[in-house]
Amino acid sequence: MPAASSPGLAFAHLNLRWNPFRDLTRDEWIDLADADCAGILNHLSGHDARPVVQLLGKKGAGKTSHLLAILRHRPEAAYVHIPEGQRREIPEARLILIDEAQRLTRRQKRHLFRSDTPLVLGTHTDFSARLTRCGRSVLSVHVHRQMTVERLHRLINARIAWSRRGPGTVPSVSSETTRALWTQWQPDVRRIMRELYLQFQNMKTPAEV
Amino acid sequence: MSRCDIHIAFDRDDRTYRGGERVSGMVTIRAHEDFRCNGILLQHYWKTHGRGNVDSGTRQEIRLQEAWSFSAGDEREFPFEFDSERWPLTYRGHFVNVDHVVQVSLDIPWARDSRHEEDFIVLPGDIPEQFRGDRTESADLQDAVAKKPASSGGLVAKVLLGLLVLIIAGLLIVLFTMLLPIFIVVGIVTWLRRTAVRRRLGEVECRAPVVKVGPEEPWRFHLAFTPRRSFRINEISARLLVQEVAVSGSGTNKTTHRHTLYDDKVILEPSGFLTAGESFSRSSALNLPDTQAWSIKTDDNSIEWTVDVRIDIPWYPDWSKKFELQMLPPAFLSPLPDGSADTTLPPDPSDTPAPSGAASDPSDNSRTGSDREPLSSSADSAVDAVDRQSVPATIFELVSAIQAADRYGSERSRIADSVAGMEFDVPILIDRVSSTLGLSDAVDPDHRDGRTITGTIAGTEQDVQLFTRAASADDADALTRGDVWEARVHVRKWDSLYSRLVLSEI
Repeated sequence: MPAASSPGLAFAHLNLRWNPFRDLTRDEWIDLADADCAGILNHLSGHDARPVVQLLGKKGAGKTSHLLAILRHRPEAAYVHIPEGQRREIPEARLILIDEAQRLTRRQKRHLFRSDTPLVLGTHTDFSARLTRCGRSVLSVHVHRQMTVERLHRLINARIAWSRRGPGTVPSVSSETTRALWTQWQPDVRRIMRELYLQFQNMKTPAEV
Repeated sequence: MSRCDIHIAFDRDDRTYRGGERVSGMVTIRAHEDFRCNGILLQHYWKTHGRGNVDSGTRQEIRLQEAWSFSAGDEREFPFEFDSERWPLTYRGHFVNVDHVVQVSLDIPWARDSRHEEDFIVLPGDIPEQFRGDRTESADLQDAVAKKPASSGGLVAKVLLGLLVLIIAGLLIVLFTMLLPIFIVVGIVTWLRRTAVRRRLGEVECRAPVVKVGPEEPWRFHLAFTPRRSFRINEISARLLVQEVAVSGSGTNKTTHRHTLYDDKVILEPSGFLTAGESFSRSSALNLPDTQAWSIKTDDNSIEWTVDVRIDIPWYPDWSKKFELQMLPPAFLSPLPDGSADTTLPPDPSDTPAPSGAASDPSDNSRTGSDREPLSSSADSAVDAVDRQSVPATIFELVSAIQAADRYGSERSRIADSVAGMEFDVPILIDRVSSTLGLSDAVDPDHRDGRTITGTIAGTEQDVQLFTRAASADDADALTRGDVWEARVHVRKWDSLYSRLVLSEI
């Protein structure tokens, strides 16, 4: 049971504003997304006509983070997330990013794949054969291959830096801990964040984990 | 380096305010380069953070500055003030946290807006409108949190939505028709289950006087039934469960996280036999913990207080009833329906004796809430004024002194104590008259068998509770709501839980 005394400022004892590994809003996710997008952006703005990028990977591997990192670089793009069992209208835009693209309806797939609009698809299903048949220039990126222990370490400590309340010491996560988490849970970065949430929830003073 | 630094300072170092109190401070912007902004906007709102999706309330906006050009090295200050929201209150938990924030953003053309936010703490203060009802009625907790308004689409979107609703309704009708046999089977199973339970237990009466509760109160309930058959039970119990519930993700990624804050059970009857025709009637109570985990319900984050009263029958369907309690700050709670000073009710004469180890009557409930610390020190303490100048000569002077004192500290109690032994003539506008409960520690022998009158001092807003003598019982019984009754009284104490004076007739 939480102490019945008046609440203080959240996570002030760790010099943080909140638990760094809490759930994020869309805007926060865009700000924090750390993905290597150079190749993807090159493909989208290259000489190939009608480009498509597929982001393939399992749950928690980083497909949404990649999409939102692209959105940060290309703010004119339209981002659409399709929840399970639902349909979403696909807007007209110069670049369309679709999260959970395997949930597009047949009609939407036919229309989108045949259109000239550049696409980025976050998907569990590989559409490359079908896209190629539609005359699309396809770049497939397996997002879990993009993640390394070094990148994960950077991502984790960027979250902590983003949560900083003021000058002074804040907790940190060592590269050894990062490696151990990666060994145990790869490629599920979301699961790693969940483990760290619990660690930070129980932390009493700023220290290295 | 960013274009500018944004610094938000509050007028109180601890950033702690009561609901409805004025929050003020200063926004300082230091420019690192030349730039132009289309405006500076301050927003204040509540939001959740933790393991669940972020829920937030309506953003109240204050425009601090219209278009403005900054030069490198400029430093400008913008004062701000607003009234803090009354609900939800700041909460620190495991999976759920609630915070109030001030966010300042600079609208910079053709660039990402610069923004910064700082949190502040909101404690119980003014009572939100939604909680003003009776304690027997639940408040709409989702209505109580001002939420981010849903975006309204255009005409095309509305037509599409209408069509979608029609299609879904059609599909549901088809689905319902297909699943009708399953519904019938489930209905029959449920009916058989209830019938089987009723065949053994007869009609079970389980009631509780209140659903809105406060910390450290005993929550009383009554269970009565007369078994139709003799049978064995594992136990009869009531379990209080307090949980944070946070939902993260959506669709296939949706995960519900639960964290138990409190789990307590009272056994009304241990394992044994119930005999046919022998009635079981028991009043009991669960002692609620000292807590700040106020009930809250937003889209994806909630704090749930439930009590599950259960008759556990081996190899047979259990009987159970679930109560959803609403834990609220004491200052938000209205007097109990019976008008008594506490939540203890007299034992039902028909109560069967409690087994050894089972919960019986609750512990003393005379909490006063006087442990609340005042947030701001008032320069002229009202109690000092009473001590230094004059002791109130009339009940109206006493009420004025009390009204002038800080409602959250112990000053009001001290003022009431300062007139102990004095006699006052008090006209009371009657709200309710009930029998005085001999169990209450507030009742001395002279006032047992009397009546408890609740109401207000006529001509004021001050609530009172008056214990009459037994000799006045008949006169008091003749009173109805709206009558005014004059009595000569002693002031017994200040009841900070209900913000009222407790009086006894002389």
